[in-house]
Amino acid sequence: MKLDKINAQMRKGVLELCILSVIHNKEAYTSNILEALKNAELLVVEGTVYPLLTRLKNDGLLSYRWEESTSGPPRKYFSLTDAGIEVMESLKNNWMQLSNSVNSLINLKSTSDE
Amino acid sequence: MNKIMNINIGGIVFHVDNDAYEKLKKYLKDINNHFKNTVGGDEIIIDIETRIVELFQQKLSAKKEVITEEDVADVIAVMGKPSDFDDEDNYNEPNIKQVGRKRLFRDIDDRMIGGVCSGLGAYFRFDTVWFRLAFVIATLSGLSILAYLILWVIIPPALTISEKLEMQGDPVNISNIEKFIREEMDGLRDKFDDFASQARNKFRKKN
Repeated sequence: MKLDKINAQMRKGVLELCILSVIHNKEAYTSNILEALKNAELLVVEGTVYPLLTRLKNDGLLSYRWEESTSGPPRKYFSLTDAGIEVMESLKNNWMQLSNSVNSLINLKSTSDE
Repeated sequence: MNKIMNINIGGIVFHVDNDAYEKLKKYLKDINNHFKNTVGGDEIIIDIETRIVELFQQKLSAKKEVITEEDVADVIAVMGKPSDFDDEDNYNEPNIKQVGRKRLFRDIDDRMIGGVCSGLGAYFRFDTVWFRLAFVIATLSGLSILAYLILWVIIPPALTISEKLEMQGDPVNISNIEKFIREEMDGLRDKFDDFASQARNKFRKKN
């Protein structure tokens, strides 16, 4: 397995949590989500996000509404459903635990016990 | 000089030159092929096209009215090729070919004594009759009765549907289980029909 493949796998695992969190903070349209993920250097290519968004929506974690745009095609604005908030909280807890465990295992000082 | 054409993506019209058109056409075709078997694939394709429209619009201005091959290449670099955004677990499992694991069971639905020979027949894909014949002939030497008893004890019977599928070497998945149950039901119906016609015949004889 190549190094970038392992790195890509790691990023992929947390992508759902990140997308849900971005939308949880503020109702977001696809480009907002892409921008937030890119700024956090979590995204290499945008195409990864579309299948994920559709799946999260089909699983009932996201809902969306259309909004007309003056400059282009209508935009999909996503928000979290109650189930989506629940899943996000659970993923978040899991992430906290996981990052603590991994940090202590690899002998890094974890940020939470500073 | 390059020929210009008009294309319509997501209801928006763009001027593109010929090279850009060819490149974009190929890319969208790849995207289509990649997602056509995915759940919600149509929606994903539309979302991607919508995003491409946005990215094109950012490239155009009053001075620049035509999408060039370079612009298309930029957009593809941002969006990524279908191979880059494989949704790891794929979620279109029916397309993944599973090879069923084959296991030796006694076939208790098709048995003379313990279902050993029919199980062996299923395992080796060989007509059960030959195994039965071999055992009967070998009985003359006296060894095969013991061998049969040992096999009867050590080979488990195929009791559940998944065991029966494994006995046949079919992968255990929903469609095979469904098929199996349907066949069982058909068999049951045939038996019931036989029973009904026999009963009718008897009834007629009595009268």
